[in-house]
Amino acid sequence: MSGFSFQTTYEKEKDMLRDITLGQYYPEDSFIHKLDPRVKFAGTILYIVTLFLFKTFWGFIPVVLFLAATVAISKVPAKFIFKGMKPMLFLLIFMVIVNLLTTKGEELWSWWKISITKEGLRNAGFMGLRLVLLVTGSSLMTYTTTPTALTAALERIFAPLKIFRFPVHDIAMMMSIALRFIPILLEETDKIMKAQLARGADFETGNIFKRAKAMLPILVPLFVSAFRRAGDLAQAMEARCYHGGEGRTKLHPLKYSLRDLAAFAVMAGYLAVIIIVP
Amino acid sequence: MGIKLEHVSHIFNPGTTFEKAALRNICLEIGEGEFIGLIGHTGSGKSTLVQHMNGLIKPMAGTVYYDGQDICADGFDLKKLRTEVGLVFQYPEYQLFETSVTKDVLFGPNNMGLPQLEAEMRTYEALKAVGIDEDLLDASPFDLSGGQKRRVAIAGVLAMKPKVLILDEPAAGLDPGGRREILDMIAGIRRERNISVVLVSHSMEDVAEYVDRIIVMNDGYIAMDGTPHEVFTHGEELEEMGLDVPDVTRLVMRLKAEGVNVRTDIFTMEQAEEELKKLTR
Ligand SMILES: Nc1ncnc2c1ncn2[C@@H]1O[C@H](COP(=O)(O)OP(=O)(O)OP(=O)(O)O)[C@@H](O)[C@H]1O
Ligand SMILES: [Mg+2]
Repeated sequence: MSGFSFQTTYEKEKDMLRDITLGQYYPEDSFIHKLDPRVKFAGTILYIVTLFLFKTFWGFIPVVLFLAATVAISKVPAKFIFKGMKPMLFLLIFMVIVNLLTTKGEELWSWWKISITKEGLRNAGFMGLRLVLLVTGSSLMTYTTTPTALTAALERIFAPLKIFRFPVHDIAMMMSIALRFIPILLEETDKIMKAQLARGADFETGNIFKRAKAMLPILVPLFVSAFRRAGDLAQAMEARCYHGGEGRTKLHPLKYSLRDLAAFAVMAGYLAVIIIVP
Repeated sequence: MGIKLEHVSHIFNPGTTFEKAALRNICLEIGEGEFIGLIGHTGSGKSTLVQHMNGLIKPMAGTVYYDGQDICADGFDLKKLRTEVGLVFQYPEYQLFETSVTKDVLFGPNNMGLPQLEAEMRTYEALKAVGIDEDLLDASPFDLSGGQKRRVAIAGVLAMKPKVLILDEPAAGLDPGGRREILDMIAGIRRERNISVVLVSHSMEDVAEYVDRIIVMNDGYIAMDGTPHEVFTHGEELEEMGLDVPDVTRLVMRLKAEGVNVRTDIFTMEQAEEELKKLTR
């Protein structure tokens, strides 16, 4: 199963598509998957907050342990968790370099106008680790929660905003549809791309204008199909008498269970540890 | 010469819960001028298989040869391969993008870098071959009917003058009349241009009377490969694989089961008529 050195013009583009893991659910039967989506949402927010609570490198130890334990329990392969990092790689490197070069302080090493300081090294390390942990941690939530469950949770959490006439239901519905469509549209893009490649299309060579123009044979059919799907969906929803959130009940109302209480307890313990470390 | 697959396997998303073996150890040769029907139930790997034939998917194991050359080898000209092995995708009408029918069909020939005149000649020839009227040439492809769109999309591949033409479910989603028209048209093009054609379908009835050779796929492997007569002698196995045998075949199979002495490798009305007449004699 090895020995492939060749990359078609298409393979590269496809790899790019595959890296977009947003809204991707990884079906498994685990404790984390079975948690109430509200708990997972709260847990993710808590986790992100804790990333910014500590000032020394010791703080990373409980965070990494917590994340590693959660990933292990979720049974999502670590490979997937890190894949979410790939599109962020450029941003990560950029931030690390900027931090490294612009922080003033005790000089460690210098050459021409560039100087690296002790504080810069520390800031860059902090920044980089935080970003990696942030992305991997939040992608765990999308891997273990179906888009439907996630929006149901958001709808419940933000329900109080309804008194200010904020269209909570509509926004939640729009979000769940958008999330649902991401994989569909990715698949569609993949198909259209292949079909145009079969007609000799070339997405790789030429200057930036030529390449932008080469995207047209993909973008036009993609938009046409997106609008067609949107129209079909709207009709299907109307045919089932959808008329917004008023008086709408849920087939599976969200309910906390003992499992969720246990998760809350673990989260509280985790928060305590983070606050206690120097 | 032609296309040759040796022990080709392909697994989607290996090592994850989405893992799916789409092709298992496929060995296959497509010679010049053959007319082949590739049949299999939904998800049996037909589309995956044909995308290996023009290098859109690379095999995870095994080798694909075109004219004796390994298409995965360094320096192999994949772009040229794709013009010689023309692949029309399932529902090709969703890939139209230009402002006029002619411009859309020109996309392929232009990508080949042909001189403008040659490219235009091929475009008109192709549009004529698929039966698009001249007054539609400047229309927007989005204003055409579903059947017309599909013809334009087929012309888009035909204009590259492929030596092997592969059509993935060309008749899907059309009414019986439209199906027959499209299939008749493809048979006509094959006769005229003397090229190899691979017709992908999940319906036996559609392709049986057109092709010279039927390849039956089941769960990613080749279950049968032979002339329509050979394949239809295994009517029961076909039904077990979830494939519809033509009504006349089912009829003679039923007769045989009732103890009537008839041949069961029958798949057209004419053959059935002949066989049944023999009985009354
Ligand atoms: N891009 C992909 N990613 C993951 N799995 C895929 C992909 N494409 C196909 N598969 C899987 O591979 C198997 C074979 O698919 P394929 O499209 O080749 O079947 P098919 O015979 O063409 O079916 P149909 O008659 O429905 O077109 C299916 O189980 C399908 O789910
Ligand atoms: Mg298919």
